Amino acid sequence: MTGMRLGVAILLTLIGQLVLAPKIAILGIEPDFLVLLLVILSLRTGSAGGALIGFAMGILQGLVVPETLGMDALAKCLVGWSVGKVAPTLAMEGPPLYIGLPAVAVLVHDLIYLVCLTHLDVPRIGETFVMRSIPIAAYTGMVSFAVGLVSDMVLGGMLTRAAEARRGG
Amino acid sequence: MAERPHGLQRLSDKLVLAVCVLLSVWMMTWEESTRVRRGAEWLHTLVTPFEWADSFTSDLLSLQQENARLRARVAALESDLTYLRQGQLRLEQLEARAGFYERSRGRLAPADVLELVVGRIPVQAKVRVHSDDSLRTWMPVISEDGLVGRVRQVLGKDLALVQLLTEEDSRISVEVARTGVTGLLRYDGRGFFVDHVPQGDPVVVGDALITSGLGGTVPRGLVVGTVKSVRSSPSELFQDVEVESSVRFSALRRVYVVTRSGPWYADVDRLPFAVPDSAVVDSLVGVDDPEARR
Repeated sequence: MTGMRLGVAILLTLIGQLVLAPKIAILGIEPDFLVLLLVILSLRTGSAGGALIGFAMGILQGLVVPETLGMDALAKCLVGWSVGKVAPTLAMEGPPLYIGLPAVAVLVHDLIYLVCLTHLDVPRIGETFVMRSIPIAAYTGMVSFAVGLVSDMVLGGMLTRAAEARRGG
Repeated sequence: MAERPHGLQRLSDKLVLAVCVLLSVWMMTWEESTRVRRGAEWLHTLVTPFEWADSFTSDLLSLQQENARLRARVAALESDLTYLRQGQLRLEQLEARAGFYERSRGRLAPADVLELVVGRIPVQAKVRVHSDDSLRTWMPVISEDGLVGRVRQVLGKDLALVQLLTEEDSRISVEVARTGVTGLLRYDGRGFFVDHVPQGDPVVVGDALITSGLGGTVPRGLVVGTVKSVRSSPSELFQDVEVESSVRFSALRRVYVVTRSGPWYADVDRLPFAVPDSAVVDSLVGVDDPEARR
């Protein structure tokens, strides 16, 4: 994927996160499109690419809420790197891959983010994690599943192919 | 492309991660106000090209719309201008006939020719003036084609006897519009001639003649005619300049008495007669009388 296409994809996803996600929110819970895109891209590019893409995404997201500048970048670069790192070792396909990987990525991302934001305020982290992060992870997993199905039908299995490519299959 | 050694790749992966993490942590160490300020600056830098492109596009669109509006406006104004010019022309003609003040030609009082006193050709005309302006002797009388003559005698409040240019003792000072050369216009029974034009003064066939204003009775600038022929002879003191008038004296029906002078023709370009161009002037040498050539 060229830098231009990558930039456009990130920008569109960011716009989708800001514009579309609030419209499809359920009880104030929105899917995390950015983490979903990060997972897909990290599966394709590997750990270094995932870290760089995550960092760039985080910086862009931080510009929207500059008070948290750096926190998103840290969380996303760690998630991107981790996904790129562990994906080749995962023996998952189909729905478990579509739902599980993005959901776990969201949980890890939110955990890192909350640690940075609250300066390790454990009760607050726990409350937010339960009340928001887990529902967001679930919702993102469902969206990912839908995207995966569409991808399988239209794009020939974007997630699966990305995972297979990393595994060398 | 050759694959990097496994160890080097792992090192590279960790290095990238380390750099990204360090940068992120470094940003998190900034004061909140600094993060906000720098975030706003970066966002501005990022968004500026898009804003510029958006502004450029909207400017271009509005410029195109404005251009289309202005083109339509110009077309409408040109149409209006043509209409107004025609209207102004009609107004001037009507004002002239109705005896109103004519913008560039003083005040004209329309008059019907009641009677022509004819010798070989008409030499006097009895006219009835349709105007409240009082008539006086020596007021100039014109037609659409040029100077006709002057009021010789006021016969009543609206009646006057006009001495036409064709009367042999009529003398009017004229000048060549192009050069300002002056002389006296007279009629000798065969045609009009300008007397007292010294040898060497620039007069050529086709020159427009206007009244000079000298003498005081006739204002300067009234169209008289064009030079028909010029004959110069070294043995004579003056040139023989024959003039052709556009006025058909035997067919006079309506004339205009100039009851008040105006600026008349401000420039030669407004004259109804063609002024010869320099090429023609240069080609003319010596005797320029068609009859003499024969």
